[in-house]
Amino acid sequence: MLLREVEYVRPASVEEAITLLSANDGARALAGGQTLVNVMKARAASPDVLVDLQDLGELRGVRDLGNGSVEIGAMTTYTELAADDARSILGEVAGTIADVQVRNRGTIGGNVCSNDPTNHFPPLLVALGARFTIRGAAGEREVSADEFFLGVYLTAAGPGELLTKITIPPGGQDGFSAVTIGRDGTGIVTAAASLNGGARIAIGCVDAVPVRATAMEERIGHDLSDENVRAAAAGLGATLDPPSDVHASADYRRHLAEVLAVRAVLAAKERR
Amino acid sequence: MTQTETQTEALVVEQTETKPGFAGTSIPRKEDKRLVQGQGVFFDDVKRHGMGYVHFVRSPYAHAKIKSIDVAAALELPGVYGSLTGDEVAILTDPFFELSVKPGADIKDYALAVGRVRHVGEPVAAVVASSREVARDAADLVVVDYEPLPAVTTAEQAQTNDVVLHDEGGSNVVWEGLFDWGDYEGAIAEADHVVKIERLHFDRFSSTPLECAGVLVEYNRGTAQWTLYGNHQMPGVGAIWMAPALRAGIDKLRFVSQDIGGAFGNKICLHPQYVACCLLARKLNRPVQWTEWRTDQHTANAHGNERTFLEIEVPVKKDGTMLGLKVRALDDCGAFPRYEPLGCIIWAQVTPGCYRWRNIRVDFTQVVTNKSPVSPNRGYSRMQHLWLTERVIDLVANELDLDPVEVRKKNYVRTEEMPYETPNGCVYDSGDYAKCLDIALGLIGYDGL
Amino acid sequence: MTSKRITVTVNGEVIEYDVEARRLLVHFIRDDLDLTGTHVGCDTGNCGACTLLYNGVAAKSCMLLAIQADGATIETVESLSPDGELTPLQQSFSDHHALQCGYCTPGMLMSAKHLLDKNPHPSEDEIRKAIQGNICRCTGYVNIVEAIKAVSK
Repeated sequence: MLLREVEYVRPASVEEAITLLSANDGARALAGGQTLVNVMKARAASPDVLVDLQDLGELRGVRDLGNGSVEIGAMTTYTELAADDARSILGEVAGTIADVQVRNRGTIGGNVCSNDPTNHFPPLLVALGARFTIRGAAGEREVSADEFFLGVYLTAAGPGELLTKITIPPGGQDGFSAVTIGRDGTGIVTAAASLNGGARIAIGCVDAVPVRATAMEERIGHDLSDENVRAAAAGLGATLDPPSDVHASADYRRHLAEVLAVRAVLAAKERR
Repeated sequence: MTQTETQTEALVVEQTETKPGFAGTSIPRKEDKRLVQGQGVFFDDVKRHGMGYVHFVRSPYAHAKIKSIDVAAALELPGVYGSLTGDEVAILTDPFFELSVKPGADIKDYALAVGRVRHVGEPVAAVVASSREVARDAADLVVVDYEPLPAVTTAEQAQTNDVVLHDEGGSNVVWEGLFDWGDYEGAIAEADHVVKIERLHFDRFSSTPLECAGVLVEYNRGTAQWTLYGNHQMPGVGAIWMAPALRAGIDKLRFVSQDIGGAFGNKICLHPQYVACCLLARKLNRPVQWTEWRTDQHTANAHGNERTFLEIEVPVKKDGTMLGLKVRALDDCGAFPRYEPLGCIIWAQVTPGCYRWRNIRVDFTQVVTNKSPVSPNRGYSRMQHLWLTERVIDLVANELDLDPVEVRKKNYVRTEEMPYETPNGCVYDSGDYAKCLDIALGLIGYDGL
Repeated sequence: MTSKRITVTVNGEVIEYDVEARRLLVHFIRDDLDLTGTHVGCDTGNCGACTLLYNGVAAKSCMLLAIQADGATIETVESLSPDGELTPLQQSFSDHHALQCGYCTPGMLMSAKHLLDKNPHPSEDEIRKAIQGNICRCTGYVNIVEAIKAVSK
């Protein structure tokens, strides 16, 4: 409940933040703090330096790029996302995370960079085919969603780097379905789908990183009838190796994956 | 409509006008004004000049010998005022008296673990420092050398006494009693069938008040009196436990509480930590404050009794009339009985529940295990028993292929039988259980399920 | 730096204070500023007893560091009725028996205030969602919802 001693810096620019993060192996970015401060309270991890990103206005805000794409600053809070119309699924999902207080502080950047397997945005952004802009001392690069999530708590944004923004390609037929611990609680299994020509379906909470249900995507093809979507989900569970824990057995998670994948696709179909 | 309902129309008291007095009216509370302004005074709100903050070093093992405790590194940390270990406690205090009869009565229960830890989270040492954070840091520097011992994790295992928790007692069985009402053998003889249920288990739980336990203790050297600003929910009882342990008169303990953030039983058995704080306040000659962390509250405050019901027998008639109940109850009170054996007995207030069975035999045994010690927790011990009776009804109905609603109504004590004396001597003076059940069933849309 | 002098506006007053970087905002508020109306109920940011308004929005002060609050504006439960005159919301909590032990109450009031500041006429569902981050162990929530409903007509 009480943190170890730590150093604190509050840079005024992204460049300064990157310099500070690169200068110390034990430096960590502090975004909304809704994960990191808890981790530090439990003393499960104790960074040497906290680099507070709160003054980096460049990292905030949702921008409609005019061509159907949407750009989201990494420091955009869940509350800010929920109030934005640019891509409705984002706000809808953001509005189901935890509670008001957490949503007022927690950020989409924090959600994806902490990459807890039960987080909402990793599978959603994989389904949306999002691209992630990472800036470091060596410059800036863009990474696809499939390449961004590397492992539990591990992403392509490495030490000394910052995720600055997430770009969502044009689209809008998106769906998200979850079974959680209580309403708006932590995910037991989550599923996201985006229909744009073909289907992109991602399952969360079943592995270290979101899993693309590629076989199901292929079987759906262009036939979005309820019948075909349900048939396409058969066998998805067998391809997964989810964990068993107090909330659900591996078998139940396999079952949920199939049920929620269908729900996510059908919800995407309904969204205009 | 059941037969019961039509017969009881005349006996239901209709509400007419509200009579003068408090019952039925909404009375504003005196304490609301300060509480809604954040002006409540909970113990952690109280501050004293020079006070030290306590952090307990707690056992990570369910069962282990303490081979040594080294506080030297902790004491060297700037801002640390001092420490306390079980060795000091064993010299400065006498064990808390146990409410149990032997062998429970022989258990040695101290403010800190002495020689051995018997549950995860048991306090082993305490450090005091100038801030909460430094106290927490200092606790990490206390080195405890443990030799893990086999852990007793179920009541059934405890009963075998393969691993005995308290050498003084010699047995893990701390209480036994046979409760025998009516004529159980007669019930068996009259029965068409005996429903047998091998095992039912009621899990331990915690009532988790939003405010954790804690205390700020000041020691007055001139009068040798301690003043405790705490949230002990029964300070009179706390004093009776603490004073003899501290080798002081009860008049040397002055409890001050204003507001308490819920308790539900979890703030009754705080005397071990409170005594540790009293010793520290005296040793360090400064006020000391302990605030329990939520994790510690969950692990090691006090759980509600865990109870296993074995070899359950219910002699019944074919039509679902229950003639009796026999059960062997095995209660797991955790590492120390403390407030027990009251829980071994108090369930007997509600022995038959709402039902008319007259022949009940309960063979009750309580054992210690390497889990959090229990204390009264919401519904204290009666909840476990009433859960048993309701589970039994459902299982009986299932075995006889009868509607569990009808089995209940058939076996309820009826309004026209009241006042009704139960086999264990309680008097039910009013009530229409069938009607209550119907109302509940209506509210949940039972017919539509 | 492991500590810093921060300037923070708390309940309308500008305060300068030296804080350690690791100091949680809730401990700064309670222990350093003696504003003990904001409470601590858990270790993990779940219970909401520490809820206050941070730059105008409800936030859990156990998940903020005091040092982050340099330049911030904070309102705690003590700001609701500085002269002892209860606000309609506070009075409604008492009238509807929306508190028993009172430990969750400051957090509930700040969450409710945050809701009503943005949305003076919330639906029951919106009220329930607004207090989702505040645990109460005594009342069962029904009266709290009623109390907030009563001032949102």
